[in-house]
Parts: sequence; structure tokens; C-alpha cells
Amino acid sequence: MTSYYGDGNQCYVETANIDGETNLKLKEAPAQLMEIMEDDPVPREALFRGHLEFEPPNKNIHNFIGALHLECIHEPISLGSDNLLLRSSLFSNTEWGYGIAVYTGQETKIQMNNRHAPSKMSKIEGYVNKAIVLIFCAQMTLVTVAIISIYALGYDNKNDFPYLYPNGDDSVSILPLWLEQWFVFFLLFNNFIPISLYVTIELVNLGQAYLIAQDLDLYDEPLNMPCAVRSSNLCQELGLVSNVFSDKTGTLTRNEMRFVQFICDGQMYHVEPNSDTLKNLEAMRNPRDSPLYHFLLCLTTCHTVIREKNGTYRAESPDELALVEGAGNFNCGLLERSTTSMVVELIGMKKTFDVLAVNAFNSDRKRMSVLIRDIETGQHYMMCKGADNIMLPLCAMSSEHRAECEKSLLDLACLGLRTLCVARKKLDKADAEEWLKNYRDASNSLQDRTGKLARVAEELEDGMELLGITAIEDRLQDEVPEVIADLSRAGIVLWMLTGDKEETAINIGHSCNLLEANTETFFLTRIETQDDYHNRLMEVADDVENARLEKELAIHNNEPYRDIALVMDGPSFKFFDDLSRLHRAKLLQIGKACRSVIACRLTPVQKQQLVNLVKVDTKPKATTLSIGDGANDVSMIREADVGVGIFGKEGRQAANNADFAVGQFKFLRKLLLVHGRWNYCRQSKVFLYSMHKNMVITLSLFWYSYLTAVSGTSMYESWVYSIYNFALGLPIIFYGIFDRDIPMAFALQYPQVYKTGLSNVHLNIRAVKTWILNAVFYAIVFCLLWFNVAYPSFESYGLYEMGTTIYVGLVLALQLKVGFIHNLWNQIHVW
Amino acid sequence: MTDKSRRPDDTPFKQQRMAAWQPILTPIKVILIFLTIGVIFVPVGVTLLDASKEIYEKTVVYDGDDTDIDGCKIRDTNEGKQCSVTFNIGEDVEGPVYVYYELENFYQNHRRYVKSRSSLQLEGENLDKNDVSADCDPLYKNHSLLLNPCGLIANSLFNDVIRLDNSSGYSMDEKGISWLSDRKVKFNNVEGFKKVQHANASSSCVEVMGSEKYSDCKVYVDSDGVTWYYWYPDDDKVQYLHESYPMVVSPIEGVENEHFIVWMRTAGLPTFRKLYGKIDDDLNKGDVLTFHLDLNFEVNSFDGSKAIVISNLGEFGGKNSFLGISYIVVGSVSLLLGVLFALKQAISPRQLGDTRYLGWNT
Repeated sequence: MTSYYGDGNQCYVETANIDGETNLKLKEAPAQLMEIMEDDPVPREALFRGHLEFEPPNKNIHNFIGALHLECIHEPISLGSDNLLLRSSLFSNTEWGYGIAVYTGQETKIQMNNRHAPSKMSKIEGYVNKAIVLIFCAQMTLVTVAIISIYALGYDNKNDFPYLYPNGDDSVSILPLWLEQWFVFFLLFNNFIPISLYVTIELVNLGQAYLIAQDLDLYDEPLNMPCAVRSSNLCQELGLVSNVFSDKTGTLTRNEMRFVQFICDGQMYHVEPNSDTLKNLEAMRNPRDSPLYHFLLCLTTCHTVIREKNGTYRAESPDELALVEGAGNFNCGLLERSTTSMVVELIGMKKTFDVLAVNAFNSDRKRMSVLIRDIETGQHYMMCKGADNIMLPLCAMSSEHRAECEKSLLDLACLGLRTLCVARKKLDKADAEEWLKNYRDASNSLQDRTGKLARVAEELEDGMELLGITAIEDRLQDEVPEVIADLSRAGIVLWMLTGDKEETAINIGHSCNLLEANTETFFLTRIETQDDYHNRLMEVADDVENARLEKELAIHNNEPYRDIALVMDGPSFKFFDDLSRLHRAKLLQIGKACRSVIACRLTPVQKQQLVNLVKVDTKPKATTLSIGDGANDVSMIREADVGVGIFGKEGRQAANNADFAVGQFKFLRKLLLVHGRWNYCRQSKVFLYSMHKNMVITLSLFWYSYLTAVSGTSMYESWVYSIYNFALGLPIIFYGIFDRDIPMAFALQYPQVYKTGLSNVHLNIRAVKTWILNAVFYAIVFCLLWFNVAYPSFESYGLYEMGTTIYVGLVLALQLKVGFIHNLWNQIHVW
Repeated sequence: MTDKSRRPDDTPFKQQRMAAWQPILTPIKVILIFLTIGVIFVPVGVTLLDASKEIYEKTVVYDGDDTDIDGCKIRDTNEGKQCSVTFNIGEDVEGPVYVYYELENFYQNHRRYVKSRSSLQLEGENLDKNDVSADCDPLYKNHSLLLNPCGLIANSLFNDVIRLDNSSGYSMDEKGISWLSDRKVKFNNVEGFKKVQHANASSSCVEVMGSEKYSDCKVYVDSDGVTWYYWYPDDDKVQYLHESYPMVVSPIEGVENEHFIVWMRTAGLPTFRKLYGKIDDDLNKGDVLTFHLDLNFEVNSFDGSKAIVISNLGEFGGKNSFLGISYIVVGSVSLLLGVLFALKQAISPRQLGDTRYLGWNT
């Protein structure tokens, strides 16, 4: 629905249902409409006379392009996403409005986005599918052997069976004997393929998922969120994870930003209430001469924060909120805002500005700016803030000054702080108006509006005067270093993928144990060309290989060794040739040798690319897990074998697209080390056992067929036969849900035991072979032995009496076997 | 968003903290388990074997390749030849003594054979051709006559007649050899069948049976000299069991004949024995049991053999040394393993849970 509002031109909406963001968003009616209403009131009906052009329905909830042609206005009015009210958003602080519905029903953006998470197949399921093919082949072999036996043993001679062919060979069957028997045996042995296996595994999955969701240790009290399991089939996959890809912001760190300090005019200031700085400022007669004044002015004006009626701020990004809230310590703040103007408090003084244009923030531009006009002086300012690596080149400054700034930035980053540069430019009226004209043209264009707006903004954001550098602290989540240390001990390689800059990333890496003091760190960063990248990659790969050998030697000799880590960055990774085998192999080889990898300044697509690289190319197959909280992590969460989403501050997209959603990073520990391991151990046994039990009963029928002239008689009464899977399926399902091979405390204390899953102890070829041999053994004991040695006991038995006797024996023995594979017994098992 | 707490319940079930017994197989426990199994199984096995040995069982093969006696071989079905089989009882035998016939190389468990029967027909429903042809395939008619009962099983009935010579002073009871449920429920003469006992054979059918419908009834005098009037529906279109096997099945018994019922319960193995009758008395050493046979059932064509088996039952069923032997074998192996483990434990014990054996740093 596109809407425009009669009252005050603006409305606020809550979009928690769409993107999970709880802040209020500003939506407004096109300014031209307002002008009409003010200048020359026309009947309301006139507003609805005309036609509307807009783009076809699409998924993009942040973009909309349209144009409104009204009869009462000559020029078309351009419409953007600011004018679009999405379905499922809620009005807030707004009483009424007019609107035109543009998309309805299935065509609404939210419906277009309503896509189910892609279905992922777990390793065990893949394994099962492969096994089924093998089992099918085995079944075919059995059938063939049986058919050949008919002829080899001479059972095809009808004259030997006068009682079967009383009227001679009067075969009414249109099929030759062998083909008929082929079908008979095919049906007789159909239990070889454990159809019930899928049901069993599915039920076990559900049980496991339920227990994970019910785990109190995975419950996040403040969020009131237990762990949500969206893909129950991946429960056991948690026990196989070899690579964890983690987002930084909001996942490892709290994403609770605090504006802690800033540098202005080469001087460091701390942000705290009632500071001396504030007093000094207030004491100044003419604060406008102070650079600090301009810095604060920029902080208070250059943002898209809105003030609610109760005085709290709502912002689109936590950084922005932190800056505005921090500025409050200097008696600076936003008082009122409309589309065209804002009233601010500046060191206790009230000031009004016209807001002429806003060049919004996006992840490509990494900066935002506003064009404002001081009502009192009429002076135009362009205020801008953004990422330092983008901003510094755009500022006019001497090279010494620049070097100085870079050093301060590095210092701040080393403290684990996020830095932003704040700058401004004075404009004279003519320039400002000319630029505004271009800006309006761009914002009215129908095609590539975003691109055009960005180019227009670029014209303005140049040659700025750097006002200062802000530093925002982002605290770590609970227990992050401990959890990372445990995962590392469990043999899991950790990758931190972040959009943040190298220094911050490394710093966070140090503080959360990804890098330790003695870790040997290799760099694949700041590379500018394709060839450079290629050479560096080869070089680093060799170095890492040497370091790895050194490390292994040290371990072998029981000497202290140095862990290896890699740091790479997005802009360099751009030169990574995704299609080159050499590149992929080398990077993987490095990644494999490393204890952790830090990749910074990555775009969401690059994150996904890295996950994909590890997922697809590693041999033996790696199981990847991505964990993240923001919309930018969605692609990597979907890409990974297991996606874990965190109910984050940045919204629920990550959690909604994930297979498991938890409240905090620390829950990953129990999820992997305890639940994952347990479920893996359980499920692999469930698979092997289910296969085994069906094999035993089918083989018993196979042996028996040799006592029936290979005719394919079943010695089991059909009812008895059909409850087999039920009678034996139930106990193994309980096993699959409840068994614990080692206690939880032990699994947490010694993360090393997680390697059970990493090396796939329970489900390798050898295990499968052992179980198959065991099944053959069972069948031999139950059939060959019974039929041949215990022959006399069955001589006076009817067919089904004998069959049922053997059946009962089989079921009891296999029940006992479930008992033996149980590691522990509780009330449910003893039923 | 609701304010309802989504906090999971703190119950042992949901938190996977349920009290559970996790048995750890320590060497001592394993040794004890093996020894216990051995100590229990070996005596049980010995007892079973003894009980099995005490059971009397004697088999005389009278037709086939390797016969124990001569003169009982036949070449053709229903040859009508007669012969005798004699058992010299060498010891005192506790009764009751069971008499079986045993067939070898007869695949009663063949798939084609097993499924060729009509349960409904055997229960007494009067079915027409279409109803039985599928169930009884490939055998449901004899030329133009419909077979009742139809099917391979019913029409390959073992029809040798075995009679115990009463000179020995014993008598063989041929009643009560089939399952009660079979007799009561599963085998009934065809619906409409009627039999009436009458003093003499000279009355008219209508008079005895009480309806015009039965005007074409027949008369049968049984072995006790009792006269029966009987009537089968559609007798001219159907060949009934007593018509197929006149020497074995009397018209007043029909499918309720117990030898037939025993035969219809198909055997599980190609060599099988079926109960023919039982002698309720104890046998004494030196007794001679002579069985007179009417030979009708031909085994030569399928390379089989026929035998008579007499046997009694012990406390644990029929003669079977397998169970006893397997108990003894399993028991002995357990004992042996128990002792071996005990020796190993005594000579070089190993600490349980010794972390030195774990190599996770490699």
C-alpha cells in the first residue's frame, strides 16, 4: 500500500512483524502533495484523480519506485519506499491518513518474502539415502541368488513335485518361472529396505528437537526465548560440525553501543555526564568558535533519529542511537523533527534548522549526510559521518594531519572500539540550490534511483572538513571467550566473518580468544590487484604449511606449540577467483591448518562465498555451521549445513532463516558439545540398528526359502510379520531420544570428546560392515542353526507355529540388543 | 508478542536429568556375569539332555529309498496293497504314546502349495466356482466336477490307513489329535449338509430326512454298524472329500475328519511328522505293536519316504537333544570366558577410566 497522510504529512510505523526491528520508522507523504494542500486547498477527491505508475511486485522491502500523476498537478510526483506502507506494519502516534493500495494479497512485499527456509539434508540422511541404494542392490543380489538356486538345485523340474502340479505342467501363468519367482522374492525381501527407517529417524528427530527446545540451559531469560528448532532433521548434524562461521557484531559482541570517547581537534574527550568539558563549553562566551561546538552540532543534526513523545529516541542503527544519546551528555539533543526541519538543543541552546536533503546510509556508501540550513544565519551546511576508510579520502586535510588521524583511529581500534569520522562542509546558497535541483531530479527519477541519488550525494560529499572521530564501544556477549576456547578444544575451526574493519576484528579476536598471545598470525589483507593476491595466497599457503609442520613436530615432541591463525579482508578477497581450483585448494589448505580465521570487511555475499568454499570443497566433507544475528548474515546462515540464528537487536531475519535460533552465542556450547554429540551418537545407532533388524528378518526368510524348494514361502504369518517394525521400532526410538553415552557435565568439561562426531566414529564404513556381519550372524544363529541342528524339534510343527516361534526368538534377541546398546536405563526404557 | 513466559519447565524429563541406571561393565562384573550364566546354564542343559534321553522314540521307514522293512513299497496311488509294520518295544514306556507318520522330501511349505486352499470353503460356506478358483488355484475342479474342499493341500491328503493290531492289547485313539479351534471353528461340512442316524437302511429318504429336498439322499453304515442317512448339496456337480478319499474319510465326517484337519495344517519343513493317533496306556518291555497299513499314498514320484514314528513326551516336550546341548555349550563357553577373564584380571589388571589411554592431543 502506498499512502499519504493529511495530518502533518508524516506517520510513524512499527515494522516488527516485517523485519523484527523494534524502532519506529518514518513514512511520509510526498512533499508536493502537502504544498498543494497548503497553497490551494482542493477537494480531497481531487487527490485521487489521476493515475499511478509503479514497479511490478517484488521481494525487496526496502525499495519502491513509483510515480503519481494527478490531474491537479502538472508534474508527476515521485514515490519511494518512504511513501510506501508495507503490509503488517503498525501505525504509531498517527491518527489518520489517506492511501492507495498498490499491492494486494500474494503480491504484497511481505507475502513475496514469505519463503520457507531452504530444506537442508543432514549428513546422516545423506548417508541413509546412500545406504538404501546399497541395500537395494543387496536385495537384488539376494533375489538373484535365490533365482539361480532354483535352477542350480533343480527345483524347477515340475515332475519332482507331482503334488504341486496334479494336472501336469498346466501353467496358467503368462510369466516364465524365473520371472514370476523374481517378483515373489522381490516382495518377500522387501523388508530388506527399511522403509520404517525414515519414520523411525523422523520420530527420533522430533523427540530430539523437542528436548533441545525444552532445554533450560538454552533458555534466554531476558528475551524470554527458549532455543527454537526449525529443522529437526539437523539435530544430529550439530554433533558433526567442523567449522563454525560466526558473525561478530551482535553475535560475539552485544551490539549494545556506547559512545565512550571522541577525538576533536587532536584532543581526546571522554563521554560522561557532567564532565568538565561540558562546564568549559558552557562557560565559553562564544562557543561557536570552538571546534567542539561544530563537532557536537554535527552529532546532533546528522542522523535520522526520531524522538518519541515520552522523550526517548528511536533510531535505525544502534551506532546512531549511541551517538545521539552520548551527545546528550553535553546537553545536546533532538527536540522536534518534521520532514523539512528539526529543532535541536545545542549545549543548552535551542536552535532550528531546515533539513533540505538526507543522503541515507547504506552498506556500499558507508556514510550518511544531511544538508541543513541554519534558520538564524541562513548558512548552508553539509554534515556527514561515516566509516573512516571512506571518509578520510573525502576530507580535505594535510598529509601530516591525515597520518595523525590514522594513528588515532588505529589506537582506538586497538581498544576494540568502533570508530566513525564526522565531517562537514560549508556551502554557499547558490551551490546548495544547484545541488538541490540535481538531488530532486535524482529522487524523482524512476529508474536506478538509488544509484542516481548515491552519485548526487557523492558530488556533495567531497572536500569536507574533518571535525572529529567518535569511538563506540561494543561489549562482548556473555562467556564468549570461554565458549570459543571450548569449541577450539573440541577441534572446531572458528571463522569470524565480519563487515567491521581489520583492527577492530583482530582486537575482538584477541578479546574473545580467537587469537591468543602466541598465535602465529598470517595476513591476506590490503591487496590491490589480482596478481598480488595470487602471489600472496601462494606465499601464505607455503608459510602456513611450514608452520603446521612445525606445530605437529612440536606436538609430537610434547613441546609447547604455536597455533596458527589467518586474517583476511573483503576487499582483498574480491580478487579471489572462485572458479580457480588452485585458489580454492590453497585457501582451504590454509583454513584447515588454522585454529581460527578472521575475515573482516566482508559483504554478505562474501560471507556466503567463504562458507560455500569450505562446505563444498573440503575433503573429507566438512560440516559447516553459521551463526549470526543480522540480516547480513542470512545468506551465510542459509548456505551453511547448519544455520544458527540469534534473536538479535538488528532484527529477527537471521533467527527466522536459521535452523536453530537461540538467544545468545554462549548457547552454542551446549547445543554442539552436548546435544549435538548425544544426538549424533543416538541417531547413528538408530540407523545401524534399524538397518540391522530388517536385515536379520529378511535373511532369515532367505535361509528359510532353501527349505521350501526356493519357492518364496514366508514362514511368518502376515500379521505377525507386519508388526515387526513396530515391536522393534519403538524401543530404538526411545533409545534415539533418551540415551546418553556420557553425562552432560563430562561432555562440557572435556570438549575433546566432541571429536567422536568429527571423526564420525559411529557411522563409518567399518561400523556399517560390523553391523551387517552381525546381522548375518544373527540370521545364521536363528535359522541355519535352528533349521539344521534343531530339525527334530520342528518336524511336528506347522508352518506358522514354527515361524512364530522363530519370530518370538528374534524379537526377544533384538530387544536384548537394544538393551545392550543402551548406555543407560531409566523408567521409560524399562517398559 | 505475548508476555507469557516461554521458559521451559524444569523437570527431569525435559532437562534430560532423569534418574537412570548406567551399568558399567567392570571386569569383576563381567566375570561374575559369565560365571553365573555358566553355573546356571550347564545344569539346565544337563537336565534337559537327560529328560530328552529318557524319551522313547522309534521310527520305521516303510516306503522310499532306504526302508527299514520290505513289502510296503507301492508304485501307484491307491494301489490298495496292504502290509504290516511291527515295533518291538525294548523298554518300559510311559504313556501316552503318540503315533506319527513321517514324510520326507514333501514340500508342504512350498509357496504354490501353502496358498492353494480356501478357508471359507473349509469353514462350511457353499462357494461356487468363481469364489474358489482364485484361492485354490491351480486345483479346484476334477474335470467337470467342482472339488470341495479344493486346493493342492486338501487334494494331496496322506491317505495310507494305519490300524493298530488289537492282539497286543492296546488300542489307538484317533480322536483329539487336531487343534480344538480347528475342529470347532475352521473345519465344518458344507452348509446344507445333513446327516440323520436311523435304525435301518430300508426307509425312504424323505421319511427319514423329513423333506422332499432330500429325496436323493444316501445311506452309510459306519464301522460300528450304525446306519446314517446323509445328504450333500449339489452332489452331482461337486466332488466331496469322502468321494476323493473313500478309504480315509467317511461321508458323515467329511472335512471334519481329524486326519484331514491335521494334514491341512501345513508343515514348516520338507521332512515332517504328523500325529495319527495316540495310545493312552503305558507300554511294557517286550510288547510288540503291529500296525496294519492300507497303502494308498505314493512317494516314489517325488523321491520321498514314509515312516511310522512312535514316541512319548517328557517334561520338556518331545525328544530333542538340541536344546540341552546348546545350553551346555553356551554355559561352558561362558564359564571358560569367565575363568579366562578372571585370570587376566588377576595377572595384569587394568585400571578402569585410565585417561592415559586417551589420545586426544594427537
